Amino acid sequence: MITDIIIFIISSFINLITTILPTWQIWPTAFLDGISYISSQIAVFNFIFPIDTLFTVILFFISFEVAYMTAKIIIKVLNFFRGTGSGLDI
Amino acid sequence: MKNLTKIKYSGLLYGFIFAVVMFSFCFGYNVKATNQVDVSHTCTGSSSSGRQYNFWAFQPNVDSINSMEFTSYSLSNSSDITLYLCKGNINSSDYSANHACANGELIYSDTITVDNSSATHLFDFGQSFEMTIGDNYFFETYGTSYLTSPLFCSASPYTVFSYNPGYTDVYAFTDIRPAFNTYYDDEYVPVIPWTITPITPLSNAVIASSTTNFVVTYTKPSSTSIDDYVDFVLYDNNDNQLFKNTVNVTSTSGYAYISLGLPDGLYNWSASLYCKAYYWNTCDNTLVSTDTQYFKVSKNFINPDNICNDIATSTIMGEINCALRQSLYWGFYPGNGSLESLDNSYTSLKDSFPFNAFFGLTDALTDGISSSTPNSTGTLQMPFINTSGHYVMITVLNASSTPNLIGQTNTTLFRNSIAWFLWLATAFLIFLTFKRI
Repeated sequence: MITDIIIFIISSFINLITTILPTWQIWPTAFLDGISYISSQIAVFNFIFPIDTLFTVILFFISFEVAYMTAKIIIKVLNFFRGTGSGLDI
Repeated sequence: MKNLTKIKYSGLLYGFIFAVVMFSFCFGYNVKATNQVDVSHTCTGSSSSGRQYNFWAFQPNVDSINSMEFTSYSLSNSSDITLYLCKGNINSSDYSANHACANGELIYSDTITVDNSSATHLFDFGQSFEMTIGDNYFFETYGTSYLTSPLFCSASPYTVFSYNPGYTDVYAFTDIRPAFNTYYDDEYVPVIPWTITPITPLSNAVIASSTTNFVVTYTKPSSTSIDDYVDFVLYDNNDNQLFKNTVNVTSTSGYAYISLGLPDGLYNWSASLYCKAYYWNTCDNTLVSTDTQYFKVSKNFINPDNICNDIATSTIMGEINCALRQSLYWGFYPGNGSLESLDNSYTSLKDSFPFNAFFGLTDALTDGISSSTPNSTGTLQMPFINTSGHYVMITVLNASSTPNLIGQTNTTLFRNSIAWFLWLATAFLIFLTFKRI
Protein backbone atom coordinates (compact mmCIF):
# COMPACT_ATOMS: atom_id res chain seq x y z
CA MET A 1 0.00 0.00 0.00
CA ILE A 2 2.83 2.38 0.87
CA THR A 3 4.57 1.58 -2.40
CA ASP A 4 1.25 2.01 -4.21
CA ILE A 5 0.90 5.51 -2.78
CA ILE A 6 4.47 6.42 -3.76
CA ILE A 7 3.91 5.08 -7.26
CA PHE A 8 0.63 6.98 -7.47
CA ILE A 9 2.39 10.24 -6.55
CA ILE A 10 5.15 9.62 -9.09
CA SER A 11 2.63 8.66 -11.80
CA SER A 12 0.54 11.74 -11.08
CA PHE A 13 3.61 13.94 -11.27
CA ILE A 14 4.67 12.41 -14.58
CA ASN A 15 1.11 12.74 -15.90
CA LEU A 16 1.15 16.41 -14.91
CA ILE A 17 4.40 16.96 -16.81
CA THR A 18 3.04 15.01 -19.79
CA THR A 19 -0.10 17.12 -19.86
CA ILE A 20 1.95 20.31 -19.97
CA LEU A 21 4.50 19.14 -22.52
CA PRO A 22 3.73 19.37 -26.24
CA THR A 23 3.70 16.27 -28.45
CA TRP A 24 5.87 17.58 -31.26
CA GLN A 25 7.57 14.95 -33.32
CA ILE A 26 11.10 15.95 -34.30
CA TRP A 27 12.23 12.93 -36.25
CA PRO A 28 10.49 12.32 -39.56
CA THR A 29 9.20 8.79 -40.02
CA ALA A 30 11.43 8.42 -43.08
CA PHE A 31 14.47 9.15 -40.93
CA LEU A 32 13.50 6.56 -38.32
CA ASP A 33 12.81 4.04 -41.08
CA GLY A 34 16.23 4.89 -42.48
CA ILE A 35 17.88 3.97 -39.19
CA SER A 36 16.19 0.58 -39.23
CA TYR A 37 17.25 0.07 -42.85
CA ILE A 38 20.87 1.08 -42.23
CA SER A 39 21.16 -1.21 -39.22
CA SER A 40 19.89 -4.13 -41.29
CA GLN A 41 22.38 -3.30 -44.05
CA ILE A 42 25.29 -2.98 -41.62
CA ALA A 43 24.46 -6.47 -40.31
CA VAL A 44 25.55 -7.86 -43.69
CA PHE A 45 29.17 -6.99 -42.86
CA ASN A 46 29.27 -9.38 -39.94
CA PHE A 47 31.50 -11.64 -42.08
CA ILE A 48 34.41 -9.22 -41.77
CA PHE A 49 33.67 -7.28 -38.59
CA PRO A 50 31.93 -8.41 -35.35
CA ILE A 51 28.70 -6.54 -36.04
CA ASP A 52 26.83 -8.77 -33.59
CA THR A 53 29.09 -7.55 -30.78
CA LEU A 54 28.78 -3.98 -32.03
CA PHE A 55 24.99 -4.22 -31.84
CA THR A 56 25.15 -5.69 -28.33
CA VAL A 57 27.46 -2.88 -27.26
CA ILE A 58 25.22 -0.19 -28.73
CA LEU A 59 22.10 -1.64 -27.08
CA PHE A 60 23.93 -1.89 -23.76
CA PHE A 61 25.12 1.71 -23.99
CA ILE A 62 21.67 3.01 -24.93
CA SER A 63 20.08 1.10 -22.05
CA PHE A 64 22.71 2.43 -19.68
CA GLU A 65 22.21 6.02 -20.80
CA VAL A 66 18.42 5.73 -20.51
CA ALA A 67 18.59 4.22 -17.03
CA TYR A 68 21.30 6.62 -15.88
CA MET A 69 19.56 9.75 -17.17
CA THR A 70 16.23 8.62 -15.74
CA ALA A 71 17.76 8.04 -12.32
CA LYS A 72 19.55 11.38 -12.54
CA ILE A 73 16.36 13.25 -13.41
CA ILE A 74 14.43 11.58 -10.59
CA ILE A 75 17.12 12.44 -8.06
CA LYS A 76 17.28 16.02 -9.29
CA VAL A 77 13.52 16.41 -9.02
CA LEU A 78 13.53 15.00 -5.50
CA ASN A 79 16.40 17.32 -4.54
CA PHE A 80 14.52 20.24 -6.09
CA PHE A 81 11.58 19.62 -3.77
CA ARG A 82 13.93 19.16 -0.84
CA GLY A 83 15.54 22.49 -1.68
CA THR A 84 18.98 21.00 -2.15
CA GLY A 85 21.20 20.01 -5.06
CA SER A 86 22.35 22.03 -8.02
CA GLY A 87 19.00 22.70 -9.64
CA LEU A 88 17.10 20.95 -12.40
CA ASP A 89 19.58 21.52 -15.23
CA ILE A 90 20.97 18.28 -16.57
CA MET B 1 -21.29 56.11 -33.55
CA LYS B 2 -18.09 54.42 -34.58
CA ASN B 3 -18.92 51.50 -32.32
CA LEU B 4 -22.39 51.20 -33.84
CA THR B 5 -20.87 51.07 -37.32
CA LYS B 6 -18.45 48.38 -36.17
CA ILE B 7 -21.28 46.32 -34.74
CA LYS B 8 -23.26 46.75 -37.94
CA TYR B 9 -20.41 45.54 -40.17
CA SER B 10 -19.63 42.70 -37.79
CA GLY B 11 -23.25 41.59 -37.93
CA LEU B 12 -23.18 41.66 -41.72
CA LEU B 13 -19.96 39.63 -41.77
CA TYR B 14 -21.26 36.97 -39.37
CA GLY B 15 -24.56 36.85 -41.23
CA PHE B 16 -22.72 36.28 -44.50
CA ILE B 17 -20.62 33.46 -42.98
CA PHE B 18 -23.74 31.84 -41.51
CA ALA B 19 -25.50 32.04 -44.88
CA VAL B 20 -22.53 30.47 -46.66
CA VAL B 21 -22.39 27.61 -44.13
CA MET B 22 -26.12 26.94 -44.34
CA PHE B 23 -26.04 27.19 -48.14
CA SER B 24 -23.23 24.65 -48.32
CA PHE B 25 -25.46 22.05 -46.65
CA CYS B 26 -27.68 22.11 -49.72
CA PHE B 27 -24.82 20.86 -51.90
CA GLY B 28 -22.06 18.34 -51.60
CA TYR B 29 -22.13 14.60 -51.40
CA ASN B 30 -24.09 12.83 -48.75
CA VAL B 31 -23.10 9.26 -48.04
CA LYS B 32 -26.14 7.06 -47.68
CA ALA B 33 -25.94 3.58 -46.33
CA THR B 34 -29.10 2.76 -48.29
CA ASN B 35 -27.04 2.80 -51.47
CA GLN B 36 -25.54 -0.50 -50.43
CA VAL B 37 -27.57 -3.07 -52.32
CA ASP B 38 -27.79 -6.63 -51.16
CA VAL B 39 -28.67 -8.68 -54.19
CA SER B 40 -28.32 -12.10 -52.62
CA HIS B 41 -32.06 -12.73 -52.49
CA THR B 42 -32.68 -12.51 -56.20
CA CYS B 43 -30.40 -15.28 -57.31
CA THR B 44 -30.86 -18.11 -59.71
CA GLY B 45 -28.43 -20.57 -61.19
CA SER B 46 -27.60 -23.43 -63.49
CA SER B 47 -24.80 -25.81 -64.33
CA SER B 48 -23.00 -26.93 -67.43
CA SER B 49 -20.46 -29.75 -67.59
CA GLY B 50 -19.97 -29.63 -63.85
CA ARG B 51 -19.51 -25.91 -63.73
CA GLN B 52 -21.82 -23.94 -61.59
CA TYR B 53 -23.40 -20.78 -62.91
CA ASN B 54 -25.07 -18.26 -60.72
CA PHE B 55 -26.85 -15.04 -61.42
CA TRP B 56 -27.69 -12.08 -59.26
CA ALA B 57 -30.17 -9.64 -60.69
CA PHE B 58 -30.57 -6.14 -59.37
CA GLN B 59 -31.77 -2.67 -60.20
CA PRO B 60 -29.29 0.03 -59.18
CA ASN B 61 -30.51 3.01 -57.24
CA VAL B 62 -27.40 5.11 -57.98
CA ASP B 63 -25.63 5.79 -61.26
CA SER B 64 -22.26 4.09 -60.80
CA ILE B 65 -20.66 1.02 -59.27
CA ASN B 66 -17.02 0.40 -58.45
CA SER B 67 -16.62 -2.57 -56.13
CA MET B 68 -18.14 -5.73 -54.71
CA GLU B 69 -17.80 -7.39 -51.39
CA PHE B 70 -17.85 -11.12 -50.79
CA THR B 71 -18.66 -12.41 -47.35
CA SER B 72 -17.34 -15.83 -46.58
CA TYR B 73 -17.58 -18.24 -43.69
CA SER B 74 -14.56 -20.28 -44.53
CA LEU B 75 -10.85 -19.61 -44.45
CA SER B 76 -10.06 -21.44 -47.66
CA ASN B 77 -9.57 -19.36 -50.76
CA SER B 78 -11.86 -19.88 -53.69
CA SER B 79 -10.59 -21.20 -56.94
CA ASP B 80 -10.61 -18.84 -59.88
CA ILE B 81 -14.06 -17.51 -60.59
CA THR B 82 -15.15 -15.85 -63.76
CA LEU B 83 -17.26 -12.83 -63.08
CA TYR B 84 -19.46 -10.94 -65.52
CA LEU B 85 -21.47 -7.79 -65.05
CA CYS B 86 -24.23 -7.51 -67.61
CA LYS B 87 -27.04 -5.14 -68.46
CA GLY B 88 -30.41 -6.62 -69.35
CA ASN B 89 -32.54 -9.51 -68.19
CA ILE B 90 -31.36 -12.98 -67.38
CA ASN B 91 -32.37 -15.27 -70.21
CA SER B 92 -32.79 -19.02 -70.11
CA SER B 93 -30.03 -19.31 -72.71
CA ASP B 94 -27.65 -17.82 -70.15
CA TYR B 95 -28.11 -20.92 -67.99
CA SER B 96 -26.33 -23.19 -70.40
CA ALA B 97 -24.25 -20.74 -72.39
CA ASN B 98 -20.49 -20.78 -72.12
CA HIS B 99 -20.46 -17.05 -72.50
CA ALA B 100 -22.15 -14.47 -70.40
CA CYS B 101 -24.81 -11.97 -71.27
CA ALA B 102 -26.29 -14.05 -74.07
CA ASN B 103 -29.14 -11.61 -74.32
CA GLY B 104 -27.66 -8.68 -72.52
CA GLU B 105 -24.90 -6.12 -72.80
CA LEU B 106 -21.56 -7.17 -71.31
CA ILE B 107 -20.22 -4.38 -69.13
CA TYR B 108 -17.36 -6.09 -67.32
CA SER B 109 -15.66 -9.46 -67.18
CA ASP B 110 -12.69 -10.75 -65.23
CA THR B 111 -11.33 -13.84 -63.54
CA ILE B 112 -11.06 -13.27 -59.83
CA THR B 113 -10.11 -15.20 -56.71
CA VAL B 114 -11.92 -14.51 -53.50
CA ASP B 115 -9.43 -14.22 -50.69
CA ASN B 116 -11.05 -15.81 -47.67
CA SER B 117 -8.22 -15.22 -45.26
CA SER B 118 -10.57 -12.73 -43.72
CA ALA B 119 -14.30 -13.01 -43.37
CA THR B 120 -14.94 -10.36 -45.97
CA HIS B 121 -13.18 -9.58 -49.16
CA LEU B 122 -13.57 -6.41 -51.16
CA PHE B 123 -13.05 -6.75 -54.85
CA ASP B 124 -12.39 -3.46 -56.57
CA PHE B 125 -13.20 -3.22 -60.28
CA GLY B 126 -10.49 -0.60 -60.63
CA GLN B 127 -12.92 1.72 -62.37
CA SER B 128 -16.42 3.06 -62.05
CA PHE B 129 -19.19 1.83 -64.35
CA GLU B 130 -21.98 4.14 -65.39
CA MET B 131 -25.38 2.62 -64.69
CA THR B 132 -28.93 3.66 -65.41
CA ILE B 133 -31.00 3.91 -62.29
CA GLY B 134 -33.93 1.50 -62.37
CA ASP B 135 -32.69 -0.60 -65.30
CA ASN B 136 -32.11 -4.33 -64.98
CA TYR B 137 -28.57 -5.58 -64.43
CA PHE B 138 -27.15 -8.88 -63.31
CA PHE B 139 -23.92 -10.47 -62.19
CA GLU B 140 -22.93 -13.88 -63.41
CA THR B 141 -20.24 -16.08 -61.90
CA TYR B 142 -19.01 -19.57 -62.63
CA GLY B 143 -16.04 -21.74 -61.74
CA THR B 144 -13.33 -21.93 -64.37
CA SER B 145 -13.11 -25.72 -64.25
CA TYR B 146 -14.86 -28.79 -62.94
CA LEU B 147 -15.09 -28.86 -59.15
CA THR B 148 -13.88 -25.33 -58.70
CA SER B 149 -15.82 -23.25 -56.27
CA PRO B 150 -18.19 -20.83 -57.86
CA LEU B 151 -20.05 -18.37 -55.74
CA PHE B 152 -23.26 -20.00 -54.66
CA CYS B 153 -26.23 -17.87 -54.07
CA SER B 154 -28.83 -18.49 -51.47
CA ALA B 155 -32.54 -17.86 -51.30
CA SER B 156 -32.43 -17.86 -47.53
CA PRO B 157 -29.66 -17.93 -44.95
CA TYR B 158 -30.03 -21.67 -44.44
CA THR B 159 -30.47 -23.18 -47.89
CA VAL B 160 -28.03 -23.36 -50.74
CA PHE B 161 -29.52 -22.84 -54.12
CA SER B 162 -28.29 -25.06 -56.89
CA TYR B 163 -29.51 -26.60 -60.13
CA ASN B 164 -26.78 -29.14 -59.93
CA PRO B 165 -27.95 -31.98 -57.66
CA GLY B 166 -26.05 -34.59 -59.68
CA TYR B 167 -22.67 -33.13 -58.84
CA THR B 168 -22.56 -33.56 -55.11
CA ASP B 169 -18.81 -32.90 -55.12
CA VAL B 170 -19.60 -29.36 -56.08
CA TYR B 171 -21.49 -29.00 -52.86
CA ALA B 172 -18.61 -30.47 -50.91
CA PHE B 173 -16.16 -28.05 -52.42
CA THR B 174 -18.34 -25.06 -52.07
CA ASP B 175 -17.84 -23.21 -48.88
CA ILE B 176 -18.40 -19.64 -49.86
CA ARG B 177 -21.57 -18.29 -48.42
CA PRO B 178 -23.54 -16.24 -50.86
CA ALA B 179 -23.55 -12.93 -49.07
CA PHE B 180 -22.82 -10.72 -51.99
CA ASN B 181 -23.07 -7.00 -51.76
CA THR B 182 -22.41 -4.28 -54.26
CA TYR B 183 -21.03 -0.92 -53.27
CA TYR B 184 -21.09 2.35 -55.05
CA ASP B 185 -18.52 5.10 -55.38
CA ASP B 186 -16.93 6.11 -52.09
CA GLU B 187 -19.59 4.40 -50.05
CA TYR B 188 -17.88 1.27 -48.90
CA VAL B 189 -18.34 0.73 -45.18
CA PRO B 190 -16.03 -2.00 -43.91
CA VAL B 191 -17.79 -4.92 -42.28
CA ILE B 192 -16.53 -5.80 -38.82
CA PRO B 193 -14.09 -8.67 -39.39
CA TRP B 194 -13.66 -11.88 -37.43
CA THR B 195 -10.87 -11.15 -34.96
CA ILE B 196 -9.61 -12.59 -31.71
CA THR B 197 -6.90 -11.03 -29.56
CA PRO B 198 -5.27 -12.45 -26.44
CA ILE B 199 -5.39 -10.17 -23.40
CA THR B 200 -3.93 -12.28 -20.62
CA PRO B 201 -1.72 -14.11 -19.92
CA LEU B 202 0.58 -12.85 -22.65
CA SER B 203 3.96 -14.36 -23.45
CA ASN B 204 6.61 -14.05 -20.72
CA ALA B 205 3.98 -13.49 -18.02
CA VAL B 206 4.59 -15.01 -14.59
CA ILE B 207 1.38 -15.99 -12.81
CA ALA B 208 1.67 -16.09 -9.03
CA SER B 209 -2.04 -16.47 -8.35
CA SER B 210 -3.74 -19.75 -7.54
CA THR B 211 -6.06 -19.09 -10.50
CA THR B 212 -5.04 -18.19 -14.01
CA ASN B 213 -7.54 -16.20 -16.07
CA PHE B 214 -7.43 -16.65 -19.82
CA VAL B 215 -9.01 -13.66 -21.52
CA VAL B 216 -9.49 -12.76 -25.19
CA THR B 217 -11.38 -10.06 -27.02
CA TYR B 218 -13.21 -10.83 -30.24
CA THR B 219 -15.21 -9.15 -32.99
CA LYS B 220 -17.64 -10.68 -35.48
CA PRO B 221 -19.57 -9.33 -38.44
CA SER B 222 -22.86 -8.07 -37.10
CA SER B 223 -24.81 -9.91 -39.76
CA THR B 224 -23.64 -13.27 -38.46
CA SER B 225 -23.80 -12.75 -34.74
CA ILE B 226 -25.40 -16.04 -33.79
CA ASP B 227 -24.12 -18.68 -31.42
CA ASP B 228 -20.45 -18.73 -32.33
CA TYR B 229 -17.88 -19.91 -29.85
CA VAL B 230 -14.30 -19.53 -28.62
CA ASP B 231 -12.14 -22.56 -27.86
CA PHE B 232 -9.39 -22.12 -25.26
CA VAL B 233 -6.65 -24.73 -25.52
CA LEU B 234 -3.88 -25.11 -22.93
CA TYR B 235 -0.64 -27.05 -23.48
CA ASP B 236 2.22 -27.98 -21.20
CA ASN B 237 5.87 -27.30 -21.88
CA ASN B 238 6.06 -30.30 -24.23
CA ASP B 239 3.04 -29.16 -26.25
CA ASN B 240 0.79 -31.86 -24.81
CA GLN B 241 -2.78 -30.65 -24.67
CA LEU B 242 -3.92 -30.32 -21.07
CA PHE B 243 -7.23 -28.61 -21.37
CA LYS B 244 -9.80 -27.46 -23.86
CA ASN B 245 -12.85 -25.40 -23.01
CA THR B 246 -15.54 -23.83 -25.12
CA VAL B 247 -17.23 -20.50 -24.43
CA ASN B 248 -20.22 -19.39 -26.48
CA VAL B 249 -20.13 -15.84 -27.78
CA THR B 250 -23.28 -14.22 -29.10
CA SER B 251 -22.65 -10.48 -29.29
CA THR B 252 -20.71 -8.96 -32.18
CA SER B 253 -17.80 -8.00 -29.91
CA GLY B 254 -16.72 -8.53 -26.34
CA TYR B 255 -14.62 -10.61 -24.00
CA ALA B 256 -14.45 -14.36 -23.54
CA TYR B 257 -12.61 -15.91 -20.63
CA ILE B 258 -12.08 -18.98 -18.52
CA SER B 259 -10.35 -19.47 -15.17
CA LEU B 260 -8.13 -22.42 -14.31
CA GLY B 261 -6.15 -23.43 -11.24
CA LEU B 262 -2.74 -24.56 -12.48
CA PRO B 263 0.26 -26.09 -10.71
CA ASP B 264 3.66 -24.43 -11.08
CA GLY B 265 5.22 -24.93 -14.47
CA LEU B 266 5.63 -23.65 -17.99
CA TYR B 267 2.58 -23.50 -20.25
CA ASN B 268 1.38 -22.18 -23.55
CA TRP B 269 -2.12 -21.50 -24.77
CA SER B 270 -4.10 -20.19 -27.69
CA ALA B 271 -7.73 -19.48 -28.46
CA SER B 272 -9.72 -19.82 -31.67
CA LEU B 273 -12.96 -18.29 -32.79
CA TYR B 274 -15.34 -20.70 -34.51
CA CYS B 275 -18.67 -20.26 -36.16
CA LYS B 276 -21.39 -22.83 -35.65
CA ALA B 277 -22.77 -24.71 -38.60
CA TYR B 278 -25.05 -22.61 -40.72
CA TYR B 279 -25.67 -25.00 -43.52
CA TRP B 280 -24.22 -28.18 -44.98
CA ASN B 281 -21.96 -28.37 -41.91
CA THR B 282 -19.44 -26.24 -43.74
CA CYS B 283 -19.19 -23.48 -41.19
CA ASP B 284 -17.73 -25.47 -38.32
CA ASN B 285 -14.27 -24.18 -39.14
CA THR B 286 -11.71 -22.12 -37.36
CA LEU B 287 -12.16 -18.56 -38.46
CA VAL B 288 -9.31 -16.87 -36.61
CA SER B 289 -6.86 -17.87 -33.88
CA THR B 290 -4.60 -16.07 -31.48
CA ASP B 291 -0.84 -16.49 -31.55
CA THR B 292 0.48 -19.01 -29.04
CA GLN B 293 1.25 -17.32 -25.73
CA TYR B 294 3.90 -18.75 -23.40
CA PHE B 295 3.71 -18.14 -19.67
CA LYS B 296 4.87 -19.48 -16.36
CA VAL B 297 2.97 -20.29 -13.18
CA SER B 298 5.10 -19.81 -10.08
CA LYS B 299 3.22 -19.56 -6.84
CA ASN B 300 6.49 -19.26 -4.92
CA PHE B 301 6.61 -15.79 -6.34
CA ILE B 302 5.46 -13.26 -3.75
CA ASN B 303 1.79 -13.92 -3.30
CA PRO B 304 -0.53 -13.27 -0.35
CA ASP B 305 -2.07 -16.70 -0.82
CA ASN B 306 1.11 -18.61 -0.06
CA ILE B 307 3.36 -16.11 1.65
CA CYS B 308 3.10 -18.07 4.92
CA ASN B 309 3.36 -21.52 3.38
CA ASP B 310 6.73 -22.28 4.98
CA ILE B 311 5.72 -20.99 8.42
CA ALA B 312 4.14 -23.09 11.16
CA THR B 313 1.25 -20.73 11.85
CA SER B 314 -0.05 -23.02 14.62
CA THR B 315 2.50 -21.46 16.96
CA ILE B 316 2.37 -17.91 18.28
CA MET B 317 5.80 -17.07 16.90
CA GLY B 318 4.77 -18.50 13.56
CA GLU B 319 1.64 -16.34 13.52
CA ILE B 320 3.70 -13.27 14.39
CA ASN B 321 6.16 -14.15 11.66
CA CYS B 322 3.33 -14.64 9.16
CA ALA B 323 1.62 -11.41 10.22
CA LEU B 324 4.88 -9.54 9.79
CA ARG B 325 5.35 -10.93 6.31
CA GLN B 326 1.78 -10.15 5.31
CA SER B 327 2.08 -6.63 6.70
CA LEU B 328 5.26 -6.01 4.77
CA TYR B 329 3.66 -7.45 1.65
CA TRP B 330 0.57 -5.29 2.11
CA GLY B 331 2.69 -2.22 2.70
CA PHE B 332 5.46 -2.49 0.18
CA TYR B 333 4.54 -4.83 -2.63
CA PRO B 334 3.03 -2.76 -5.43
CA GLY B 335 -0.21 -3.86 -7.06
CA ASN B 336 -0.52 -4.54 -10.77
CA GLY B 337 -2.74 -1.48 -11.19
CA SER B 338 -0.06 0.81 -9.77
CA LEU B 339 2.65 -0.68 -11.95
CA GLU B 340 0.43 -0.41 -14.99
CA SER B 341 -0.34 3.20 -14.19
CA LEU B 342 3.38 3.95 -13.82
CA ASP B 343 4.11 2.19 -17.08
CA ASN B 344 1.43 4.22 -18.89
CA SER B 345 2.80 7.44 -17.42
CA TYR B 346 6.32 6.53 -18.46
CA THR B 347 5.14 5.73 -22.00
CA SER B 348 3.31 9.06 -22.20
CA LEU B 349 6.42 10.88 -21.00
CA LYS B 350 8.54 9.14 -23.62
CA ASP B 351 6.11 10.30 -26.31
CA SER B 352 6.20 13.92 -25.15
CA PHE B 353 8.57 16.57 -26.39
CA PRO B 354 11.52 16.90 -25.67
CA PHE B 355 11.85 13.34 -24.35
CA ASN B 356 10.60 11.87 -27.62
CA ALA B 357 13.59 13.46 -29.38
CA PHE B 358 15.79 11.04 -27.49
CA PHE B 359 13.51 8.04 -27.09
CA GLY B 360 12.25 8.20 -30.68
CA LEU B 361 15.83 7.82 -31.85
CA THR B 362 16.89 5.17 -29.37
CA ASP B 363 13.72 3.14 -29.87
CA ALA B 364 14.18 3.20 -33.66
CA LEU B 365 17.81 2.16 -33.29
CA THR B 366 16.97 -0.54 -30.75
CA ASP B 367 14.16 -1.94 -32.89
CA GLY B 368 16.33 -1.79 -36.02
CA ILE B 369 19.22 -3.61 -34.38
CA SER B 370 16.98 -6.13 -32.64
CA SER B 371 15.28 -7.05 -35.89
CA SER B 372 18.55 -7.31 -37.84
CA THR B 373 20.21 -10.70 -37.98
CA PRO B 374 23.97 -10.56 -38.46
CA ASN B 375 25.26 -13.46 -40.53
CA SER B 376 28.50 -14.51 -42.14
CA THR B 377 27.19 -15.01 -45.64
CA GLY B 378 27.74 -11.44 -46.81
CA THR B 379 30.26 -10.62 -49.50
CA LEU B 380 32.04 -7.60 -50.92
CA GLN B 381 31.91 -7.50 -54.71
CA MET B 382 33.46 -5.40 -57.45
CA PRO B 383 32.38 -4.97 -61.06
CA PHE B 384 34.51 -6.43 -63.83
CA ILE B 385 34.16 -6.94 -67.56
CA ASN B 386 34.65 -10.51 -68.71
CA THR B 387 36.15 -11.62 -72.02
CA SER B 388 32.77 -11.56 -73.75
CA GLY B 389 32.32 -7.91 -72.83
CA HIS B 390 29.68 -8.36 -70.13
CA TYR B 391 29.76 -6.75 -66.74
CA VAL B 392 30.01 -9.25 -63.87
CA MET B 393 30.29 -8.83 -60.13
CA ILE B 394 33.28 -10.69 -58.73
CA THR B 395 33.50 -11.47 -55.03
CA VAL B 396 36.70 -10.02 -53.62
CA LEU B 397 35.99 -10.50 -49.92
CA ASN B 398 33.90 -13.06 -48.06
CA ALA B 399 33.84 -15.01 -44.82
CA SER B 400 36.73 -17.24 -45.90
CA SER B 401 39.04 -14.40 -46.99
CA THR B 402 40.55 -13.65 -43.60
CA PRO B 403 40.98 -17.35 -42.55
CA ASN B 404 42.72 -17.97 -45.88
CA LEU B 405 45.07 -15.10 -45.21
CA ILE B 406 45.98 -15.56 -41.52
CA GLY B 407 44.36 -18.90 -40.55
CA GLN B 408 41.17 -19.69 -38.65
CA THR B 409 42.76 -19.49 -35.18
CA ASN B 410 44.19 -16.05 -35.80
CA THR B 411 40.91 -14.94 -37.38
CA THR B 412 38.99 -15.95 -34.26
CA LEU B 413 41.58 -14.22 -32.09
CA PHE B 414 41.42 -11.10 -34.25
CA ARG B 415 37.62 -11.04 -34.13
CA ASN B 416 37.51 -11.55 -30.37
CA SER B 417 40.09 -8.81 -29.91
CA ILE B 418 37.96 -6.36 -31.85
CA ALA B 419 34.98 -7.34 -29.71
CA TRP B 420 36.95 -6.64 -26.55
CA PHE B 421 38.07 -3.28 -27.94
CA LEU B 422 34.43 -2.43 -28.55
CA TRP B 423 33.60 -3.18 -24.92
CA LEU B 424 36.61 -1.15 -23.82
CA ALA B 425 35.34 1.79 -25.88
CA THR B 426 31.94 1.41 -24.21
CA ALA B 427 33.53 1.45 -20.77
CA PHE B 428 35.37 4.62 -21.75
CA LEU B 429 32.12 6.27 -22.92
CA ILE B 430 30.43 5.34 -19.65
CA PHE B 431 33.39 6.79 -17.77
CA LEU B 432 32.97 10.02 -19.73
CA THR B 433 29.26 10.03 -18.84
CA PHE B 434 30.15 10.01 -15.15
CA LYS B 435 33.06 12.36 -15.59
CA ARG B 436 31.14 15.23 -17.12
CA ILE B 437 28.55 15.30 -14.33
